[in-house]
Amino acid sequence: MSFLLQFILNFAIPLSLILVGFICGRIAEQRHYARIRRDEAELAHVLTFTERAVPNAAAPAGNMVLGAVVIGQDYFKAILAGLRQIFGGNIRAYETLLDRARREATIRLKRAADAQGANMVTNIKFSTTRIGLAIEVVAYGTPCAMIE
Amino acid sequence: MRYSNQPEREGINAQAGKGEGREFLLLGASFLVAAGLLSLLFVRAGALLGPLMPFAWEAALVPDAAFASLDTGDERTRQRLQTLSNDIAKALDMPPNMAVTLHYSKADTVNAFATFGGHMVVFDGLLKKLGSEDAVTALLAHELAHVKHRHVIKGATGTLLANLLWSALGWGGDVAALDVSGFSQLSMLSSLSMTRDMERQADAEALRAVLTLYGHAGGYFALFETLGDIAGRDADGLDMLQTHPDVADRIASAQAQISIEQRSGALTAWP
Repeated sequence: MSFLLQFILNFAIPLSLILVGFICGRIAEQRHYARIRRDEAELAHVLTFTERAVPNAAAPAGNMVLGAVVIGQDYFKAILAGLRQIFGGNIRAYETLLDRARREATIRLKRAADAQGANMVTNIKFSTTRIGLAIEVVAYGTPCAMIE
Repeated sequence: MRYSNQPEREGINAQAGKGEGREFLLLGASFLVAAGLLSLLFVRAGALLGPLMPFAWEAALVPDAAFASLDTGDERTRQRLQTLSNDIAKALDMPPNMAVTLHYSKADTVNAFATFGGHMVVFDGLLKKLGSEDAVTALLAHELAHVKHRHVIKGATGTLLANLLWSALGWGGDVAALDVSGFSQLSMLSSLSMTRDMERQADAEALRAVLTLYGHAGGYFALFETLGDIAGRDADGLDMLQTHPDVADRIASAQAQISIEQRSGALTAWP
């Protein structure tokens, strides 16, 4: 096999994976954002607070709600981030990934609170863990009911 | 007291899908250019470092036993080739510590090469096609010149350093996900221009040796005409992807270096 043909074949597979990652990753991201916006609007009645003690909030029952999400990067984002790690700079490809994960975790947290009949979650915190090539974002807080 | 949460403001923490394709193309191209240049630099640096290793150390890398599997041809021909090599070594002013060991295989393979530690392998398949002692001398002189100028170790250390560079880049980030064999091929590509320079140097030395030993360069041109015939049958296209310069260029360059009278003469028969 000629050198040129071998060269093309060696790069054809990773390049097609990058292309698949680019197209599928972009479609998945657009769909996810659309779902996030819809769910945020749907759960707007559950309020979130970073404060531990919110005036007018009923004393918490002592339990906790959490929303957890594990989100994977696509091949395109992985390579783009790899290139950024060589040259430095803002890794925008990961910013959207983490933004989606944080917002999705918050939605799940609110859903959990809503299911308990709570309409507010106080003392919200986030934590992030890397699992292989994916990340997990957990949002947790204390569900309360507002005293009208 | 009434509370409310503001809806999430888009575009502050993340800008979805904006200019990612362009960013990728720009970074990818910069990476290939930078890595290509570095690769070239490493190949050349490796070539400078390689010959610092004493020849005796290089010879110790490859024991005679490594050639035991060759289908050794008759001893008389091997002796004749070895004697020719010794004469050529003198004509090339080889340093006395550079002993050349000749291995002669009766296989039909059309090839001859010099490798680490002054070991030279000549296949009968190529000898049969050459037809004259002068052409065999030109062939051996070319390979001996590779030994004299430490081309084998230069090429090996150059490629090794360039491959280390690609591995280091791979370890550094997710770029490792790309096919590594593709990258080692890139470093091979960087070493090709150096390989061609080495071939030209070996050609010039071979021409000098043939002229010294026979008084004319008939054997040199006979060798390249034969090589041209062989190459013509499996030509591989692009010049920049070849390890050896084009045969016609090699003949033309030799012709330019000598007078018309020196270009031909009576050839000694082989075998």
